[in-house]
Amino acid sequence: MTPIIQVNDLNVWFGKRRILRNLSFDIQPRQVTAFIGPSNCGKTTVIRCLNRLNDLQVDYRHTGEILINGEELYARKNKTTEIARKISMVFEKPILFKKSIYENVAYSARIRGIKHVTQISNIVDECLMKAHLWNEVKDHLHTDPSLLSIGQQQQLCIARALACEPEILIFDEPCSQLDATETPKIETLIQTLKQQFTIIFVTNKRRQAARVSDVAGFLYNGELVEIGKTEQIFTTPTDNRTENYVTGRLG
Amino acid sequence: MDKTKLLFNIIAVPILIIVLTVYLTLTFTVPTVNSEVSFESMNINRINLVKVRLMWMIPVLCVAIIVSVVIAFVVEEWLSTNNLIRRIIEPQIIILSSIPSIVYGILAIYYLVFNPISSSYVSLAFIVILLVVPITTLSAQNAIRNIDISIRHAAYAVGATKTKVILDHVLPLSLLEILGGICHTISRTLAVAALCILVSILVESPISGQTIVNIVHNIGILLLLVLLFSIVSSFLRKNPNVMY
Ligand SMILES: Nc1ncnc2c1ncn2[C@@H]1O[C@H](COP(=O)(O)OP(=O)(O)O)[C@@H](O)[C@H]1O
Ligand SMILES: [Mg+2]
Repeated sequence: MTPIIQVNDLNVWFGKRRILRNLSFDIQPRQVTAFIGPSNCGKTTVIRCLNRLNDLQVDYRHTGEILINGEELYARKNKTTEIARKISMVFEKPILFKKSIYENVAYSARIRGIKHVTQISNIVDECLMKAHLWNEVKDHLHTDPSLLSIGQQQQLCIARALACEPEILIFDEPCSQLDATETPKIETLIQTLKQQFTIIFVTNKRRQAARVSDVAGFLYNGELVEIGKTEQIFTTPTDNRTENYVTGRLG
Repeated sequence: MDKTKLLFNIIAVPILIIVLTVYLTLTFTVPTVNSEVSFESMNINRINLVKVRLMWMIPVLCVAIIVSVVIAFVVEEWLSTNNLIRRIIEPQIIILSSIPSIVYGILAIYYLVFNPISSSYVSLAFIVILLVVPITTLSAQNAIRNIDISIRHAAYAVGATKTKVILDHVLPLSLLEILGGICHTISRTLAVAALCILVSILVESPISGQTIVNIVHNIGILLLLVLLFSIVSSFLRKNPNVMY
């Protein structure tokens, strides 16, 4: 299989501080790839390189290659938004626009250039169903989403991300704000979504990564210590630090 | 609903400006201005001349406000925090905006009331610009800065372009606060105008019962407008969580 994302020798600096060191990895399509590691080890930074969100930071600088479907992400001729559209992201906290439930999802469709009202409405319905939220919200699509529970808001964010028709979905600790009853819902959702999308998933909960992912990478102090099949990472890690982390002795 | 509330706010400010313009146009008589050197030789009513000059401030005010908002957006959206131009402009804006309006009031009194030469129109325009631009720019900048960065992240993450992010999110989210700042500026400018009219009346006529009536007649409504704009300003600046 040809990888959908290839990262070669990626280094990232914020100002003078080096955040990531010599990262190289491939991401295969239609799999869940998880990045695990203690907090502040650079997980968020890695995934924000993949959709160029780091560009918003003034002092951000990087070296190395990031190829999406063989195309350099940072190449000048590539329209950043075109690529970013293929890679959608769900954040730690549910960040919703101050628009109705319907409009939040419809926004992504409009960004893609879809203007026809029935077409947009179909996309909204479909994405809400895919995000397993349809039954909860179908009767009040035009109300304020802040009335939903945090988990449901996160599902709405997922629906909005789906409405971009991305190839790659990035989740940055999507369950960190959720309680024990809502977390499994998101985890199951990710499992279903992987049949259609390539998923990159960041978490600082070891167990969650073990449950959800096919491939896991362990980040420590800005280094990608080890990346491989989740089973292998959790049962027979090759690096000491990985072993210490997955057994709970580190971080 | 929320949309109509927003619409009302957007319409309210231009309407207030129009009301002000109409009031000034209807109440004030327009004398012919020629370039004689002293008021005495021109033999015209000083109060009326002051009013004509105040009318001139209105278009200048409008342009200055628009320019300020544009400056604020350019600085906040296109110049990064370590950009040289921004590092030069920003302190100037802050320093200028902290000059109390009475300083401009005194300058305005000189050019409006005591300077008979018509070239003082240019000077007046400068005074208005100095009075308006820094404060409006600063408040608009703050309004833009107050928007949670995460909203931008979310918009970029669904593939919005920079223009889209500004038009769809930054502008609607900061609009009320920007309008609040504009109202605040307008009320400041009106207060200076009221001051000028007051001085011109006092210079023209000795203090008597008639003078007092004259003052109340001429600046009463102006001061009411000042109050109105201040109230609207503080109301808008509360930045309610409306959906957009
Ligand atoms: N904008 C920034 N400027 C400077 N340092 C940053 C910035 N963002 C993150 N960092 C630093 O980069 C490191 C990695 O952060 P992050 O990627 O958010 O970690 P994680 O998501 O694993 O908790 C942290 O030490 C953090 O302090
Ligand atoms: Mg993080």
